[in-house]
Amino acid sequence: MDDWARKVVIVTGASGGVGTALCRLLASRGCRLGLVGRSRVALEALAEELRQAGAACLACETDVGERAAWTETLTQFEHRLGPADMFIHTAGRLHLTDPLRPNIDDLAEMLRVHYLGFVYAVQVLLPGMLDRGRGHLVAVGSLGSWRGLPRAAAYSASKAALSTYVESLRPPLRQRGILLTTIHLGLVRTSMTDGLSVPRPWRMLAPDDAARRIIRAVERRQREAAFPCGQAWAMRLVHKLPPWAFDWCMTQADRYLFRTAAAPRPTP
Amino acid sequence: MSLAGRVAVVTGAAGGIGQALCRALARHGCALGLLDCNEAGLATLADTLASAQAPHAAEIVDVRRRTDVQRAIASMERKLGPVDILVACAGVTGVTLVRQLAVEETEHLLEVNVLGAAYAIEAVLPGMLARRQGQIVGVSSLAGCRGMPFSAGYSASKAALSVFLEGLRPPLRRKGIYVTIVLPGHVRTPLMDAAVVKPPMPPISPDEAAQHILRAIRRRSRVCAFPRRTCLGLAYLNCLPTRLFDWTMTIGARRTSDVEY
Repeated sequence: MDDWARKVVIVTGASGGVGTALCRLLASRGCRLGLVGRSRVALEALAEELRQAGAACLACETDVGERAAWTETLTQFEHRLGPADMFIHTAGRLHLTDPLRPNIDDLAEMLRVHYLGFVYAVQVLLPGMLDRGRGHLVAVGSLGSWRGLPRAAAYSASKAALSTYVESLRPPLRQRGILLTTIHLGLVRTSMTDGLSVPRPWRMLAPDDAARRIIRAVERRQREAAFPCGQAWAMRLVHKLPPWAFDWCMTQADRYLFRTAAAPRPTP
Repeated sequence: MSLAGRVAVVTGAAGGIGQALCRALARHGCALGLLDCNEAGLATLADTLASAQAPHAAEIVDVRRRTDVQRAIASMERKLGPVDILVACAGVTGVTLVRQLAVEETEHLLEVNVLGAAYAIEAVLPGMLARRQGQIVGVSSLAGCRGMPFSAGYSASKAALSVFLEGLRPPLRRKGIYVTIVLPGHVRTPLMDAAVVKPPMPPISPDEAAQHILRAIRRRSRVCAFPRRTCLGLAYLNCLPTRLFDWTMTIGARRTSDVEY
């Protein structure tokens, strides 16, 4: 997208982390924003801040996994802001998996938020985009979805569903002028990754950096983007491993990373 | 590993691959727990097994219902003994078109293919961990390896299942529980009747598929992908950069289907 000014962009997961950073960046470029998030306080604060900076924005506290409420919010946004030019799905949550007692409720919840949240939004926004012959749908996935990572099995699974769904729709939609971009994001320093640590030589990416790189990938109309670079290459390598080698590596990594760590955090 | 005298629970036992696998397992002397929501199919299979004098127990269960799955598996364990092998085979398919995204169907695919399998695993896992032995076989699909044309919802659900099982595999193996991810290509089953794409390669029969799975169970394979031609095709797709992948999918979809891509 060459000209950002007055584009209508709807961002989920705006109340924290990468979503917030993205909104600030988009607002500074003159976009009209629809903000969706879980935390009303953070969302209102962000909307106020953006309005004072002169951006037009609407905020709504919605759970994107609830189809009826989410559809209603999207319809309202399109009604009040104008037809959406872009949709960015950053909403995400992380529940670590205890492989010996996998919590299926966590799996279901993450599938709802990461995957179905995107599906519901596409269902609402796509007909309009198809009629106009343009639009851009951006899904923020995870590097972790390239293989099933033991401590994050359910998270990996839900993000894999998202990126596979996008990949499946990408070719036919591109022919019709609608772009789809999958961002494979590594570890970013947000409240979601709080309590996780990465071994050297890797660093966690700052949310602002992540947002900048997402915007760059979107501007270049990339189909996929994976960053930070080091983590992406490591995962590319892991992706190529045969099953037995993958299992061995994961076992070693688990011993190394979780030597002292306690069991996964209890789920709220 | 010998299969004689083992207890195998199979979800989606009444149709397609599940049914063929049940017959094959029974021939090898397994005691079978059959779960399916198709009452008539289940009764037919149970009759066949009874006439072959294979020990079995059948329950009519919708795998989307968590408590029902748990109850059914518990009752089977009482009848047949502790579960040695779980085959999560229950699956549905659906078509996703650009003009008709079929969101309800996408939700349904997710519930049956991913959560259905997860509920069954949840039901047998504590017992297997206590005995420090067992095998979990999840029937996913090669379609889950990449996003396939016309089947966004199906590919996504199978991708989630494969990745979830892969995440469980290394830690469970250390506890003596073997996880096998089955990735079938096109198999001639009721599932395929719904497809809008003519398979680019001739589909194999459910019995052939069952033989592949049986071998994987005996060898405790980590991954069991078949038929070979489809695997090679997919390996080729996996080497392509995204732009070429998209192009290949577009051409492929036009050649193999009459439906507007």
